[in-house]
Amino acid sequence: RRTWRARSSPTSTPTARSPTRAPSPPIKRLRAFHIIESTEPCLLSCPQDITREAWVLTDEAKGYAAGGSREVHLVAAIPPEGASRAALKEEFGDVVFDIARKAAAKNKWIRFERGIVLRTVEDTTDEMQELLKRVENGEVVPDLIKELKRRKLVTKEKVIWYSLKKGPEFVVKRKTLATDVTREHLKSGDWKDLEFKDYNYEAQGQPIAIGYSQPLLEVREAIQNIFLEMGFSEMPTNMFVESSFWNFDALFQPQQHPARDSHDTFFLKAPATTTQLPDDYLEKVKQVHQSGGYGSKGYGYDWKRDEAEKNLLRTHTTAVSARMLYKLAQEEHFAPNS
Amino acid sequence: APTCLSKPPLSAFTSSGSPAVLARLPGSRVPPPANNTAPQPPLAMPTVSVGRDRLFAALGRVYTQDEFEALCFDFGIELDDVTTEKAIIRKEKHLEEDVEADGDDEVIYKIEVAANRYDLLCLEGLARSLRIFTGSEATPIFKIASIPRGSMLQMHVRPQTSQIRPYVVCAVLRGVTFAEVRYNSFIDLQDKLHQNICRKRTLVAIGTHDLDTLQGPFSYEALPPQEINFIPLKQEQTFRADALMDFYRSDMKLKKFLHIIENSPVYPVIYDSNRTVLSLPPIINGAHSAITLKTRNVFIECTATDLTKANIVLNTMVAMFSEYCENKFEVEPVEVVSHDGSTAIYPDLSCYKMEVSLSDIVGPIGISLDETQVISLLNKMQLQADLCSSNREPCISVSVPPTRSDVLHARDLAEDVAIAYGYNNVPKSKPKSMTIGGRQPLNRFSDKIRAEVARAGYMEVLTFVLTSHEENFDMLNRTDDGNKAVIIANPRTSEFEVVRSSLMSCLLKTLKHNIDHPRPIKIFEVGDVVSLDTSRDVGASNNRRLAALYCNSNSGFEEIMGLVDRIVKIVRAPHINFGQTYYVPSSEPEFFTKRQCKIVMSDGKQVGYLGIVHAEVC
Repeated sequence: RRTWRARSSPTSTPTARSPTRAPSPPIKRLRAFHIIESTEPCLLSCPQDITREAWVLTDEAKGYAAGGSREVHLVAAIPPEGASRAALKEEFGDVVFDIARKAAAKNKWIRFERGIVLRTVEDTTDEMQELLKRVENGEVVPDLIKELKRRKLVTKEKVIWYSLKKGPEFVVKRKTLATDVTREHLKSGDWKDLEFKDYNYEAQGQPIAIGYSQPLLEVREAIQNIFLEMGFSEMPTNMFVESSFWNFDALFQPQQHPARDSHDTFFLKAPATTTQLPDDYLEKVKQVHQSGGYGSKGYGYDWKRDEAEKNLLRTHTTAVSARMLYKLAQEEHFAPNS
Repeated sequence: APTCLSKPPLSAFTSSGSPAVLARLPGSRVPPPANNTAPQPPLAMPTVSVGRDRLFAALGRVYTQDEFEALCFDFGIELDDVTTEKAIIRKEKHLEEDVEADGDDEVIYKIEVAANRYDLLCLEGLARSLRIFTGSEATPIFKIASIPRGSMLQMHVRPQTSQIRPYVVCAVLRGVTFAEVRYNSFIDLQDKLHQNICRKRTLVAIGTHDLDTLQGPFSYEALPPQEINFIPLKQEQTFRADALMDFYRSDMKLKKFLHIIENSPVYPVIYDSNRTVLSLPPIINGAHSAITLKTRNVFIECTATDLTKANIVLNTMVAMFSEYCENKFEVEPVEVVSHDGSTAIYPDLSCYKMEVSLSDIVGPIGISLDETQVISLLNKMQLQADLCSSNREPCISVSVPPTRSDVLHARDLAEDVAIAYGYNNVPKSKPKSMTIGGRQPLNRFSDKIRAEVARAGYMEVLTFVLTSHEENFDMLNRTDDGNKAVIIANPRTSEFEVVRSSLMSCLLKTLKHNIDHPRPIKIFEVGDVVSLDTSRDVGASNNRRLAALYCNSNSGFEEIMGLVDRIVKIVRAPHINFGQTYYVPSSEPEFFTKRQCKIVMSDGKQVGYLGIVHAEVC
């Protein structure tokens, strides 16, 4: 995790030199991002991304910088009469001995004679330690950095710097914007000091649970209103089963007409027939079909009662009109709205 | 499982649902009734196909298509389609656009005419009517040739014909000249009449013959099929009548007429005096008397089960084609001698005389015309009109020709006057008296309930009144005791076998088809169910019901209860008596036991029920 290092002076620019440690405790980078974003425009007006790369010592290297390099220790550990490889290995461990031996040999600080490691110099100057200390201090050593990299004593570190300065609405104490008005605000009287965060009006409201009317039935209602407004009275049409008499014969539809075919009309198995029909009216209907009357020539065919008694599912609401007209005709005196 | 509530007048359904496994609905189709062929097309206006150029030649002028459409519109017919013979054949054979097809490029007009205008079914009649309408011709007067009774051709009717096809009427057209086009028109008119007024030859069948190949007098008999032998039209060998039935079973055109006579012990047959078979009505004519382009004298016979229609058909045939006779519009009569000795002379081309007051004609239309104007309008429609010598009010006497068999009443005259005047010219007016409208109380109440349930957040649905037997009973765990539902005798598919006796299956079906809808699903319907009812004249009655359904991942029983509580609250006293508690445990098969109850009024009468729908129902 990277930690932030805030400079004590908000206006100074960073350098490659070691940055000073801020008096405040380090904060996590993500949190820092949040602070920068949310405090705009109070605090910042020009955050700048400045990235610098620097070489830093690995932990191993830090150990050497502090306490001296391994090769120096190795040489110091060799007595004037020399020491065996095995003994040295035992003291430093295989890996360390190997590395130290190589480095010391490179520096020509040791020589080998019949399995014994011997010193060649009395004192050693710990150049490695010096070098590491210099890198630690931020010095750039381009020609020697390769060796250090090879020996895994340094790693590249990326450092991102932000430049912050006071914004136009800089305040020392931050004010939180309210998102909602609550009972508590109203009760406590805090509402007087409330400042609101902006609403995002482009967001949708909450979908609500609603009921629906069937659209066809709405159209039906509109049509019904047209007739009601003209003064029409609604007929009772809640009777789906009808006899052929009211559906066809009373409306002068001849009994052999194709509309009375089983292909165009739903006849019924149950209840199959209507036996209750107004007999006197039925006789008149029969006469007009067969031989005419009331100004009509008639159809000139044999009208059958059992054809008229057949039940069906009403094929048109005019069957209701036929019944209504018959009822109206029973009245003593016919007049509108009587 | 859904919870449901239903019965008059209030019903509510609820459902809760494990991912619904609603039952598969059968998709089986009921086969069409056995005694008929393929389902008929819906009842349509008859269409006449006429060659455009022939038509214009007959009309005496050329029209642009727009002009002709306007003329048709004014007359009360409609130009339906413009095509060519080639295009028609191409369509019949399902050929591609650029493939060579038979037929020529003569432009054909398909004109739709009213189903009761038999005089417009051929070019001759159509053109003549339009000429009379536009005033370039007067209505013809058809004459019966004056032939002494003794020299008239006779048709003797034998008694056995009463068993199968009692009536026959005949006429003769003398000295006709048939060019190919006229011949085709002659055949086409017979076809159209057969389809139309003859009800596919069941009521009337037409036979036309070359009179010069025959010898009168003729006899109309009915014999056992084994005794009838002849060479039918288009065949070379002799057939016995019963074998002929089998022979035609594979004939696309004729097989649909076989049923009219095939099961009768006697078949109708017409002979001449040499026992040559003229025809086997209504199936086929004999080859011997077939009409050719060279025929000069035509013998027409119409056999029938309806004498009135037989006359109309015969009159139409002779009225249309007597213009090609040597004596134009003259028809030679035939005497029909019945088996009881009575005789009648056909065709009866007499005009039907009507006397109608002027007000009875113009009053119903709402226009004001005087007698002269009405007379000229009627004449345009082939209705010969004249002033009638009546001293009371203005009166018109009308002589309706045999071509206008559709005129039965003064109202028909008024209709023709209105058409000739132009419907668009009739002024609009307001009613003379004021009335106060009103709604049926049941509908007013239903609408209030519907609005209330919609406000409760339910979606209104509109479902079919007809349903399958299975959906109405078995799928609700109910049995049909035969006393409940109205059953259809000729259902078109198994989906429409019975009239619904419950809204519950309708709502469940709706749910099934929308099962992926986001939860909760809340639907309702206010509608009629029908049940058998011996107290009504028709034996059944409608019942207005409310049903509601709730479906969610929880059962929602209390949800539906809440809805019912709301409805009870708004309809109760002083309107409907509900007590303090109106829920009583019930045990209906469509719900889980102990998860249902019925809704009762204070007198204990049940008005509805609700419950969690049984898993078997779902």
